[in-house]
Amino acid sequence: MLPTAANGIFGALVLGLGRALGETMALAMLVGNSNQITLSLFSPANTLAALLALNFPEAGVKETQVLMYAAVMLLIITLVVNVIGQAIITFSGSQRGQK
Amino acid sequence: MNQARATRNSTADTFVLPDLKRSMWDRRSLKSGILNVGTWAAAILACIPLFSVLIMLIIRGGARMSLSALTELPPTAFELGGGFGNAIVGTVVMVGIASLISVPLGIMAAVFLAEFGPDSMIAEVTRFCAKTLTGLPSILAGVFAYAAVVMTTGTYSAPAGGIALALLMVPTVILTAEESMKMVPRIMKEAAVGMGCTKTQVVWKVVLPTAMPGVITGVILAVARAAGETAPLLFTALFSNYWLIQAGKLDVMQPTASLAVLIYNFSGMPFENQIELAWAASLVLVFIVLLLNLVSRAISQRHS
Repeated sequence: MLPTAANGIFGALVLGLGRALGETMALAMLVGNSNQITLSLFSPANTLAALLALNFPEAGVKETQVLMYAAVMLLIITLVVNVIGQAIITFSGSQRGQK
Repeated sequence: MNQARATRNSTADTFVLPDLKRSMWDRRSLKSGILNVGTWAAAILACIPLFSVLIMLIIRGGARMSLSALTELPPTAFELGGGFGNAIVGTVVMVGIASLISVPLGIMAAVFLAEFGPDSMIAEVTRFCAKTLTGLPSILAGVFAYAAVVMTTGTYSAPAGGIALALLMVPTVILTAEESMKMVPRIMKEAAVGMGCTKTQVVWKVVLPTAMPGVITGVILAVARAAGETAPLLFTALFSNYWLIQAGKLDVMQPTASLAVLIYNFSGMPFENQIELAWAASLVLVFIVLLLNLVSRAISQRHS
C-alpha cells in the first residue's frame, strides 16, 4: 500500500511544507521578531511571513519597498515548493492512469 | 483431504505439516503488532490538538462570555468591561464583501472548467493556478490588497480586507464547485440537450441545481476559512475601536475591526481585561468556524 501511494504522500508532504512556509500568525506571535541570524534554534529569530505581518502596519515609504521585496521572495519560495508538490501529485496521477 | 492424501502418499513417514499458528512473539508478527498500535496512537494523537484547544478556549473564554462582551465596543487601555461587538460586525461585513466577489466569480469559472471547456488549454492553466493559489501564504494576499487597494484609495478599509479575503476564497470555491459539477450524471445533461436546450439552459436548469449542495458546501468552507484569517486583514482593514456606522452614516472606507485581528492585538496587550476579551473572542470565532463546518457537512451528507 505504501509504495503505491508514495508519490501522492510525498506530494502532500511538499504541499504541507509549502503551507508551513507561508504560515504567518502562529509564528508572528511566537518567533520573537528579532532580525538576527544565530546558530541557536532557541534564540529569537524571524521568518519572512512574520516579518511582513509585524512591520507592515507601521512601514514608511522606503520600508514598504523593502517589505514588498521580502514579499516577492516569500512568493517565489512558496510558489516553487507548491508547484513541485502539484507536479508530483499530477505526475503520479497520470502514471496510474496509464497502467 | 488433500493434505491427508499428501501425507499418506509421501514416501517418508516423517512428513509433518508446518505449524500454521503464528506466535505472537515471532519477530515478524511482533513488528506488525507494534506498528499496528503505532497507527492507532497516531490517529488518536491527531485529534488531541483540536480538543485541547477547544477545552482551553471554553474554560478561559467562557469565563468572560456575556451579552455585553458580544455587543459593546472594545475598551481602551485601563478601562474595565467592554466587548467586541464592532469586530463581529466587521468580520461579517468583510467576509460578506469577499463572498460577493469570490462566489459568482468562482462558480462561473467552475462552470467553464466543468462544462464548456474541460480539456482546453485555458482550463488546464486555470486549474493549475487555482491549485497553486490554495497554497498561497495568506499574508501575501494582504500584501497584494495593500498595494492594489489601500495604496490607490489612500485609506485602510473594509473593501480592501474583503478583496484580500476574496483572493483566498476563490480557489476553494472554484475547485469544489468544479468537482461537484463533474458529479452531475451525463445522462441528465444529454437528456436536456436532447430536449433542445442551449448550453446555458443546460447549465442553468440542470447542472447548477443538481450540483448546488456541493457548491454550497465549498462556499461555506471557504467562508469559514476566510472568517478565521488574520494575516490578510492586518494591514488592509487594520483595526478600529468604533462601529462602521457613525452618526447614522455607514462608511466602509475606514479602518475596520475584525475578530481575528482583535484577538491578535489584544492577546499581546499587558492588560488583564483585554487578554480576557481576546479569549472570549477566540471562543466566538472558533464557534462560528466550527458551526459553518458542521453545516457544510450536514448539507453535503443529506444530498449524497
